[in-house]
Amino acid sequence: MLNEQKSLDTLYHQLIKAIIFTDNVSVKIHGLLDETKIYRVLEEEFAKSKIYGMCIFLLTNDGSKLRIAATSDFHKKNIIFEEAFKSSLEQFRIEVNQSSLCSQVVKEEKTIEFRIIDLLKEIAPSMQSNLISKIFGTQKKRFIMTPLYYHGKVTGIFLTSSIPLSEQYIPIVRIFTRHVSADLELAKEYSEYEKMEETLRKSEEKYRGLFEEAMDAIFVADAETGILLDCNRAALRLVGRKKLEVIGKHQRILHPPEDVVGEFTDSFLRHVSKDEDEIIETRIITKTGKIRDVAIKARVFELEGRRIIQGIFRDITEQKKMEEELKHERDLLRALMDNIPDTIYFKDVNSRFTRINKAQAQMLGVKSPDEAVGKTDFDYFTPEHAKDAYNDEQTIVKTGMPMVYKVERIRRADGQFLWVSATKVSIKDTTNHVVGIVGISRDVTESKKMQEELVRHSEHLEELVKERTAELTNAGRLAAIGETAAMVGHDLRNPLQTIVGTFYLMREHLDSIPCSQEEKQSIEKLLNRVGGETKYMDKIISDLQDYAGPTKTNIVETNIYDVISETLSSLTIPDTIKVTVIISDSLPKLMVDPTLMRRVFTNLFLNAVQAIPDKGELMIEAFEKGEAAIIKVQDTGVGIPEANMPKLFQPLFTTKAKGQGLGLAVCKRLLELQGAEIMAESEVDKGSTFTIKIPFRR
Amino acid sequence: MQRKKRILIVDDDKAILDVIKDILELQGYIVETAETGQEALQKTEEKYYNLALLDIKLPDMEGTKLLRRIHEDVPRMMKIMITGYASLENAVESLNSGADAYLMKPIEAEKLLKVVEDKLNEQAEAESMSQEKVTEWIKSRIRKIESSRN
Repeated sequence: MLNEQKSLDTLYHQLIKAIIFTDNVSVKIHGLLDETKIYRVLEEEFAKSKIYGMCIFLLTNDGSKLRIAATSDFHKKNIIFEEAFKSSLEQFRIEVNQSSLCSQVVKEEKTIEFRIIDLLKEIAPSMQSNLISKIFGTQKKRFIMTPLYYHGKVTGIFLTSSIPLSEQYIPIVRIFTRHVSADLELAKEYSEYEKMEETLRKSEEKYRGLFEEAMDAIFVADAETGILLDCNRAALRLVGRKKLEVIGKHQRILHPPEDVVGEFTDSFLRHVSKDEDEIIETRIITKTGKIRDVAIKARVFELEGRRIIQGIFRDITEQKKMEEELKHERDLLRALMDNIPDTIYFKDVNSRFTRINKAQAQMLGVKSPDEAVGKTDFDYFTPEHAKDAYNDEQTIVKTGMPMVYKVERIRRADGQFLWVSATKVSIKDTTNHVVGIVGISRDVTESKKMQEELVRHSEHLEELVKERTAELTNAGRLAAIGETAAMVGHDLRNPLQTIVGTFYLMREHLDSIPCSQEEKQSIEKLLNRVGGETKYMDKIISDLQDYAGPTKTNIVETNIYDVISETLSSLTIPDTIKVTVIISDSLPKLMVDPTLMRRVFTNLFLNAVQAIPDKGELMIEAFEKGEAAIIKVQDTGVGIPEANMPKLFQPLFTTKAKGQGLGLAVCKRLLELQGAEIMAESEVDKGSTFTIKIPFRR
Repeated sequence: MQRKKRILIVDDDKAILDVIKDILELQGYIVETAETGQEALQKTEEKYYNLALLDIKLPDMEGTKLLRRIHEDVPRMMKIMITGYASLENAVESLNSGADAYLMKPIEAEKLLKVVEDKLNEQAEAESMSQEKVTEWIKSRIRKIESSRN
């Protein structure tokens, strides 16, 4: 018990001694900022202690081997070491993979305690035990190995040795090694900085000015480590940091954490791996965490055996923003172009399509808008339309004047004809030169149809107006004819009166003329011929005067049968024509002008008689039908050819050799004056039927 | 033997005047002519005519106006209007203005002679009737005077 207590006390004592020792050494190496000095102080302090030994192994660049960087136990020209390991201290290497102890420290980052013999078994199994004793002294010595770190990565092993070492020492060794790691790290960084400062100072005069005043941000870094070595003012502005906050730091601090893959940013690795300049777009982060878009052009060059990378950072945030906006606008334009029902097309100065929208593609009958690029209207439309459009476009190209809302008729690819309203304007470059045209066409077929409808309507109206005008002109003409007729009629009636009277006197005197009976008969025959023609002349005058006569009627209750029979009796109808009159008993008295009706009947009956070539029938029928009285005058005469039917009631239309074509026109007019109407039906060689319709109420 | 009847024809057409004059004279009438309304008025003032044939259209005045004037001056004279164009207005106005008949040109000689004869007969009848009435009136008048004497 007592012995145990004693050995425990000894351990505490020894541990405290070790703590004091390591603390002293820590103080001594702290702030040295020089790797070699640190090694020297460590070597000296451990040598001075006589109790503790130390050795620093550093991993080679590829991490496969360990070399000795410092040791308190050997000197450079230690012959025993060279004999034992067949290598100088400088050239001595331990293959990490050959030593499970070293691997545990380097790879698994363990701190282990062991005897020297355990290590030597791995790295120098053939070594004689007397040699071991010579080099390492007593075999009682215990060893502790712990990893050395540089920026969190294992860069080597700190080894310490002492007789009383045990597991209890491990925490002390680890804490101390951390101090050593930190000081080595500081020293290394400082030396990088120093070295760089020195290197750069050499080309300072010619380089610094340009460098500092450059518009673009410039960062210089070690291509291997990524440590930032220098930057200009623009660079500091870009990242919003002070120089000390940049120099000596890793390049990854310039970029958002999510862009960092492992130790470096992807852009950095890409730049380093390529010899020629490459521009990479990426992002940086400012001290305050703002993200900005940059384009980095980087170049790698050798400087005093080191690979240095210089990156020129251009802030493209605004440009990016503009590009985004531009893209957005382009997207909007595309959406508009592809969804608008109007056809849109861009053409070069030779009227070749450079771009069209979907509606235009459909119009042209191409599957995709790209198919039309380089083609012209001549490839899709009728030559006439293509030529018109080409001429229009060339005028626009020449004058720069737009063509607005031109309505044109075109044939779509599917053969359908359309009316479109086309607007075309020139596209000018910055020097105001026309470089093409853009056109937009809208389908106006519907409105065009409506317009045509309107035009048709107005044309119809015009026609109506023309018709009415013609009618009025006709009426005017007829009124003039009427006036003339009344005048001529009156004037003609006087000589007619004289002729009629003279004719009578001549016949009266004929008896007293001394000549033969035959002579008398022949004179009488001649006189009768004059008499007949005189009567015909009288009829012509009457018709003319009737047609153009007064518009006043004297409508009275009339027995139509009386009028018909009076008319018949006043006419000379040949015996070869059979006349039938059938008047319905139920037919009431009619409200008509009897004088006018008599004229109407006279004309109709005379026409019928004249139409019958030699034998035939004239049938007159009157009956009630609905709300009107119907009077039919039917003959079995020659009939009227169909072609003449529409003109039948027009004045001055006649097919008779002798006749002025007023008879039926007079009938129509006189009937219309009384609110009645007349219609005709006829068949050639069968006869004609004239139907008078007199409504009861009018 | 009846006294010869006097007829006045008024028309601006000389040929008509001549031929109608001939026709009527052939029947034994005494015929005189006038070519204007004025002339007609003058003649009717100077002489008595049994009958006048008046054209409805005259160069110096409307035939209907002449008709009214003559009708006022010589109501007993028979007046026959002659027109070149038959219309209701003409006919009505003529009759209202005192015409006794209305004929349309060209008038057949037979028809003219018949109308003239008819109208002269009417006139003669009317005259004889009025003659009888006058005689009757004178008779009653005398009877009244005689009775008053008594």
